[in-house]
Amino acid sequence: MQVTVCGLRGGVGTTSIVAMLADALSLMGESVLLIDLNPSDLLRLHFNIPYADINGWAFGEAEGSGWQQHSYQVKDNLCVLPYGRHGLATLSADIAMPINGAALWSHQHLLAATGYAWVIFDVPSHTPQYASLCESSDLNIVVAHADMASHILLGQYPLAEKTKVLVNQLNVQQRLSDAVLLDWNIRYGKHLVPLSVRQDLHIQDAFAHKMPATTYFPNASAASDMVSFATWCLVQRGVL
Amino acid sequence: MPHSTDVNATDAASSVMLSDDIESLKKELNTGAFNYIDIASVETWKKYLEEWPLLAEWDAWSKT
Repeated sequence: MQVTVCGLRGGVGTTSIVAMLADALSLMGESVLLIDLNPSDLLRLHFNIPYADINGWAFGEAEGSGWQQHSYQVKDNLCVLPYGRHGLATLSADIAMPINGAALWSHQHLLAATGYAWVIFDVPSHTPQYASLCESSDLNIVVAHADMASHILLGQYPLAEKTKVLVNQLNVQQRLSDAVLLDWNIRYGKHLVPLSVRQDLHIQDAFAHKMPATTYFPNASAASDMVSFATWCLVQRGVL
Repeated sequence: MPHSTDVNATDAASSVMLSDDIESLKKELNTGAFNYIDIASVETWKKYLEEWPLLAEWDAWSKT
């Protein structure tokens, strides 16, 4: 099952969602390969990989050693493939010698060869080069806040059959969020994931401890929501 | 030991309740029950449109 997860815009918590989804699925016994397509290279830090480490698929491709040598087995059934280098500090090097991640990861045989039940991509927002990767995925998750900016942007977003919108950091006490969410339920119905992830400071706290909240704060509301979301993903695959 | 047995019984009950919750969730997700929009919700939505101009403006634009 190939899943792409991208933010409707930046700063909506996409990488935290990806980390918690992978962690929740692995806790359910599923084998997961996580691939970070963001040059910001933050996903690895959710899994206790040292900041000083420069390994990652883009780094491997750039130096010619290939991506296969740059993954981290963080659990028996969970493997993380970071972007590599030092994130934005080396972004200028990317521009000088762009890595063609879209061509690399759109290769279906390459994914099948990995043998994982789930391959989950953390896709940067507004990157047309990954459009075909998202379209070819079994499930394309768009993470959004239930706010007015997201409302306007979502109206411009092409919602393909396999594209589903996940509301993150929902504040149930905000009437405007309630209004936007109700509008989306009416307008987008089948494209809306039938549950939301509640606003929860435990996510940031867990990240500061270099772990997903699903492991570090399993009783937190957002962790509970993510377990429900992982169950929903399993249902989408049709195994339950 | 009775105390130990009670704890085990409580654990077992919790486990059954969790299992029931997951089963309920699976059923609801499969039936799409969460997508049900009732008339009251539509009325609430109309009131929201009156309250927030941008929500109403975009709604009107989306229908053109």
